[in-house]
Amino acid sequence: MMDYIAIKNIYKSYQQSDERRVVLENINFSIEKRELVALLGPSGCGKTTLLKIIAGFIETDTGGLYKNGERLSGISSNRIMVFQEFKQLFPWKTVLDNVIFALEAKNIAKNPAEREEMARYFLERVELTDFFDYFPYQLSGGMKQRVALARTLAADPEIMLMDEPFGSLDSQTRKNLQDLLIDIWQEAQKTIIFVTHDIEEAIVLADRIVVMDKNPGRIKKIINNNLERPRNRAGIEFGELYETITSV
Amino acid sequence: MKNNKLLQRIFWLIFLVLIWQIVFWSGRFSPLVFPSLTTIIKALAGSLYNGELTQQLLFSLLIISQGLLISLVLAIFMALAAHFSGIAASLIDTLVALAHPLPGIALMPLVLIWFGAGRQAILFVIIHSVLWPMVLNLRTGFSSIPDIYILVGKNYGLDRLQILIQIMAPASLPYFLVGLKIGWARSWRALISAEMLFGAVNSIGGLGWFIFQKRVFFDLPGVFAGIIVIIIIGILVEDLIFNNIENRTVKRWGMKS
Repeated sequence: MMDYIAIKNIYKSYQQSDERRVVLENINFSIEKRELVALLGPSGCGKTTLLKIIAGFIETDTGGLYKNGERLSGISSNRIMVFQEFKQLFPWKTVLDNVIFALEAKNIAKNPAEREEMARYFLERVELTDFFDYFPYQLSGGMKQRVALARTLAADPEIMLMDEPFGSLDSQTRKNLQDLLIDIWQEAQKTIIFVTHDIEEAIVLADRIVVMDKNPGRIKKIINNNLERPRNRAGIEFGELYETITSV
Repeated sequence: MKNNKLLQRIFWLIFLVLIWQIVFWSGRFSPLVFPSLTTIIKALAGSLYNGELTQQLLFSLLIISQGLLISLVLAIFMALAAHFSGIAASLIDTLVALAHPLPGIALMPLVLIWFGAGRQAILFVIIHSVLWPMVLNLRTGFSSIPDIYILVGKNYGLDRLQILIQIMAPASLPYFLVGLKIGWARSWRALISAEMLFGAVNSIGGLGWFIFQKRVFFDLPGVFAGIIVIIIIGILVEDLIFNNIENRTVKRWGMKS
């Protein structure tokens, strides 16, 4: 059986003064369609670099990304990144226009009126109904990330790449957004690759957790997460999985 | 708050005008060198009414907008070239380093010989005083665009031209406006001095020439009329045009601190 997405033999290193630092070594794993995979590891383990390689933002030394056996290269609007930085929204566009941007860029919908209606739909989907005409600087961090999420959904990519998008939020907002993401993921049936250093976040979200380690960045273990959804953060099994991951 | 500021401004204006008039009434200076407000206003109204001042003003405004437009196009072109090509960048940065600190007035004797004393000469001096600060600010503007904007643009499938128009242009707008403001201020000064030096072809030589002429005939109320017009234009452009553009764009977007 052919994997939907296969990541094969990825190596990546950078020249650092007079030595070569290996950032990623022998990265191999596969992703199924509509799966939510978490890349989990401490800072410096190369998880963000790996995500950027998948997005096509940076090139590998060797190895690469395959979809249904076919090599993918370069940046594509089929693999859209949600960044951690709040700055990812365009400050000169209103909330609504930031989402319409995605529809225009991908030439979705026939006319401006239809685009606006769709953009409103996606903003309602991320529970931002009252802020269509606000500018990004007027929003809180959590609201900005919701807009970024709506913009990504509007572009309708096959794969959503999420680089610690909730990493700069307070814990309550983070939990709300995790729940929202699960909802959206189940409804929109997207494939999601989610980078995080937060074990709890990985367990709440992911079907599978790719546990990484640093120096050099590599995969330690891939753990299946079969906990029933919605997941109870205080449950016994949750705790057990947490233990398993820490002891890897 | 804003109203209050305006009121204060008006209060001080009236205050200054009163002082002027008191000095005049004191009779310490001859009315020839220190004219009363009424004669100044009469001179202003008169030369506006008979079209003399209006014509000179139109000449000045036309030539300065021409100069600004040409400089703008050149500056955008140069800043883009420098942004995308290393060789162009080193050439343009060298040109800016040489030309930027050079006051336009220092070039005027040379310009007189090269272009003669006419429209072209004034235009040249205007372009010189606007172009370099404009290029400098646009260069800073382009290089201070956060990478993430460009990355998002690429990720959503925009091509180079779309990135230029949809992302780089609005993202660098705050710097563009600063460049434009500096350019305007510098060119307005350059214009007046160039007009004074180069004189008129067919008696129309702009506001600078108007003032210069009035001085020759020792018509001080006329000189002041010219000066007042220069001040008013400066305020109008600054407050009405630039503030308006800023309020509708960078301030509205929270891109200006």
